[in-house]
Amino acid sequence: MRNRDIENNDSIEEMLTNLPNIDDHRSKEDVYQRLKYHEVQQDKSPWKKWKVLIPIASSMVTVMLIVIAILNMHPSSNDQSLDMALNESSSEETSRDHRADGNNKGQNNDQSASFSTEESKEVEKQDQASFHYQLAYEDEHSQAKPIYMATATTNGEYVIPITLLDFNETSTVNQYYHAYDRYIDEKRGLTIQQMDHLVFNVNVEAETATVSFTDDYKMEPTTSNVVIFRKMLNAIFMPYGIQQVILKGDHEMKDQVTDNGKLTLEAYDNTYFKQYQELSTFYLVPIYKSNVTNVERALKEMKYDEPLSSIQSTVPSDADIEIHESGQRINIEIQSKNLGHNQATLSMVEAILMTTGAFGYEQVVFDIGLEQIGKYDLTEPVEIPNRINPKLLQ
Amino acid sequence: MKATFEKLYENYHQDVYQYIYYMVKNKQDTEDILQDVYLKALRSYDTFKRKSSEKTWLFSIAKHVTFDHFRKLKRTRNRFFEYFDWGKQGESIQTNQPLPEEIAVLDDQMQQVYKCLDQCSFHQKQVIILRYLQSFTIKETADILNWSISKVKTTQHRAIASLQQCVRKEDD
Repeated sequence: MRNRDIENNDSIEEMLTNLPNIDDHRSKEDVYQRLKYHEVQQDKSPWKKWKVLIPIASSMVTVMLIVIAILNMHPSSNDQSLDMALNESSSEETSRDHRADGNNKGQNNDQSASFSTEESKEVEKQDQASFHYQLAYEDEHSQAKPIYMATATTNGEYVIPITLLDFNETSTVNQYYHAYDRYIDEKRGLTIQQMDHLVFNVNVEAETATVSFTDDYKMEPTTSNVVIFRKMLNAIFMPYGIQQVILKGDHEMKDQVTDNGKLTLEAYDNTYFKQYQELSTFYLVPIYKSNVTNVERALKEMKYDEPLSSIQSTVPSDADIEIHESGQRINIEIQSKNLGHNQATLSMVEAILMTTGAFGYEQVVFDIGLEQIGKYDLTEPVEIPNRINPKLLQ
Repeated sequence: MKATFEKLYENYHQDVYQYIYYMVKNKQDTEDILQDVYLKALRSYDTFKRKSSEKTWLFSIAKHVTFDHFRKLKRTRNRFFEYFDWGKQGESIQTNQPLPEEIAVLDDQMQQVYKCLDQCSFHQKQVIILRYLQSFTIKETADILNWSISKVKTTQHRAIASLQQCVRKEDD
């Protein structure tokens, strides 16, 4: 190839302009998953804790130096001042203790569902009656009719499946969907992604479903909205055994989700469960990750919070885990100083049940140093429950 | 978080990747730096005041993170090779990486331009990449780098002269 005239500035500039694009060949999902993993790692970094502690420690040292300096300025009344200072300090400590007691009581009253808040304090035994369950078995509420709904986290990132359990036999299934926003309160840190602007026509017996877009449905068909919409339809219809949903109406979302108006539902393998907590309510959240291909890897992922998404870990970070498989049964042994008769441990058991269920197991044998946690008898193999995030309608 | 990520990814990912790649010339480092760029961008997205365009803002973050990368690299090398006289070349860290496929297929002179980028200082290199590979205007480049327009012009002029000298030397 002929050499360019490099004495000419234009030639160098032209060559620079012609330097080729160097593209990143990773997929968007790969980049995102790596980003999330990195975020979690940063959050767990001990340096981050030190970064918080250093200014606090510095402030305390400064205050102490000021107190010492003030005391030294009045040598004649040194002892008296010291006594007074000690008394004040003592009474301050006493009042601080009172406040701390009040806070602790408050914390005990609020069920702490996550290990991220449990780690720093002693594991206390919680009253079983105050346990909050995120799973239910069919025979627990055999008189209730299940209606499956789905909502999303406030940032629209994760889908949360909800099971309404209604003891009132008069309403038809479709009536619940027509009042979608009545059953899922967006003020409680959830978003229903305008599902209340869709018209549902579900026939549970025939296992068919049609969803029609109304003119009020204004969700933009962005990539993330399309993904979340598809996952919400999965979460709503798959528990009924419905395999395909027909979408009707003139909305771009329909074209994005499917070519011919028919959406074939798909079960998500490689799924594990963490917790989403907003305000005082918390939910089990399925998280799908293609590279999490076994329970061992899933339980490892469950140790991490995702603070940007208000997602909390469901397995304590110090957990030492051993797994043995035996057909459809899986034995899980966990050792951690954070396990005990508390809400976080109960939530861990429930998250593990759903996770193992997603990997095809039917029973879990728990060896976590407890014989019973809430309603779960851990001396026996525990069946996988089939109703997630139940909401009883009396 | 994911929605914002997707928006940034769809609009700017390849451009920012390319900017960082040409700065560090190592795909692994580029991926690591880009990850930090996303984390910083996502954490500050809500407070982004939109006085500049989103792209300018994102590139400005990329510039800071890339600069931090070089600083860390320089610190590490200084720590282990204190006897080594880093001198003025400290910021223009050369890599012994094999040429990427996209560059390896180019003619010798183009490959030379690519290699000579390492002879430019950090500042010169980023001006070259922003102006010629990313096609930012002088004003946009000044906004990203938080410089005056005249500083961008001067740095660009010196960078071109430095490149020209390097390519000419290799030709001889």
